[in-house]
Amino acid sequence: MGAISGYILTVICIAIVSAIVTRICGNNQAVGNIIKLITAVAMTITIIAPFLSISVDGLSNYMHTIEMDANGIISRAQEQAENDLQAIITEKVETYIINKAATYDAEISVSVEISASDSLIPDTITIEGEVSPYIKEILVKIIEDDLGIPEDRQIWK
Amino acid sequence: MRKIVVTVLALLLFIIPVTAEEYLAPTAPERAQKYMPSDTESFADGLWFVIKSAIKEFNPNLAEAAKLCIKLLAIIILVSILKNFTGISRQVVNLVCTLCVATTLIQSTNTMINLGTQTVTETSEYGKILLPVMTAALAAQGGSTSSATLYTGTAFFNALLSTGITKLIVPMVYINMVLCIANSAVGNDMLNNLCKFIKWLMTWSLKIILYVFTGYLSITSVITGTTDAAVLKATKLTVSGVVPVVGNIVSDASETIIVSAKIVKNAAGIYGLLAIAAIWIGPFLRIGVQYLLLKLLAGICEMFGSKETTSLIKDFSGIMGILVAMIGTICLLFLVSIICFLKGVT
Repeated sequence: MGAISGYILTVICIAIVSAIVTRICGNNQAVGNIIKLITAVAMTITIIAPFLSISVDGLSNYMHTIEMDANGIISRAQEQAENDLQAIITEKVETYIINKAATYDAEISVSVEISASDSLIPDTITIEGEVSPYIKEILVKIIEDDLGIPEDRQIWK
Repeated sequence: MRKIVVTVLALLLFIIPVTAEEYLAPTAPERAQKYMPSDTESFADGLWFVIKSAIKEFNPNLAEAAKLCIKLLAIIILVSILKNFTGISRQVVNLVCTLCVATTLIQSTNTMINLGTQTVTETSEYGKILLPVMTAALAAQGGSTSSATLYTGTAFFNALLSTGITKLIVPMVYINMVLCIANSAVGNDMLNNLCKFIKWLMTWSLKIILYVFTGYLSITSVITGTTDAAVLKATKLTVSGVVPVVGNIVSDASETIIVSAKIVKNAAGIYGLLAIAAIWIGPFLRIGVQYLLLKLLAGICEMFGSKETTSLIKDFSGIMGILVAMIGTICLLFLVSIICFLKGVT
């Protein structure tokens, strides 16, 4: 606040001094014009002085901080969206397998793991329940064909 | 009926998988709370509520502004009567008139400047909290490039504008006020030109910032919006073509995430728009009425007041105009930005 009031006072003082000097020298045409020019230059310098002290480095650092903030917010939001997406996919895949097993009168519980890769395709599944070898074989084939999970990544308990 | 509505709303909450609390718009500042509607689902209804509430609050302010104008009118009439007395110097009468008018106006102008500055700060601070919410919601919707550009642009221009207003334009308003009074008392050409220059500088600074910001948003939102839309489309095509069933599951799940993020983003955006309008409308009406009444008073003064006094009242109404422009610019900056966030991925 001190800097602002100092700036205001300087501008007012320069303006008043310029007005007085111009008034005094106004009668002499030649000197009057020069005085007017000098006072105009002094006024302009005083007014624009704060703009000249703005540092370009500070501005570029500030821009960098904003960009970092934006990237942080976006990566957090994407991570959150990915977690939500994984939860939905897990739930839907589990329901799909349970429903398929139910059509063969088999009661199972399924747990799906999704790999950390960008594809969000289920990576490994763990199936628990009493299932006959014949139905197990059918389910293994269904899971392989429909969900793209090969037999070696299907854990049957 | 109420039970059904509550049940449906509860079910809707379960349907939306995106963590809604993450994307809730921040509550409007305390001063703007009285103008905020309880239901912010519809923007048109909400805006209408904000306007109606502001007009209800506005009556006492109108009386206050009218009282000030009557005071000024009385001073000017008194001075014009004094002028007719031959024994009193015309210059002394002008000086006294200027001082009386200035003293009467300074207090209310100072109050309005403080109100304007407070509004700018409040809008800027609210915007700083709202921006991350909108950015996150747009990024969750698949507009990561758009959200980064919008956040960076709005945060930069907000900082530039709020700092420019509080650190440069407000001091300039005070300088302009002092110079206008000095010009009216002394009648110096240089002071007059300086007043005009400062007014021009303030007006154009605000205009240029707003023009550059609008230009930046128009260009970048077209480019980044198209890029995001293309990336989304490509991802959907790739995913749905992987394995028939799992591909469809992944595609459906991402569609659910995108739609729910869009719903949450729209809700936050509409609340944000209404909150910004609620912060802005009260001060706008107060300063705007003062501006119009001073303009009217200057018109009346032209009929029987002195040239210097009329010019001083015009200058003070000009200051009110700058204050209206000041709060209008920062409000418009956020309105445009939020609308761009709402438009999102096209």
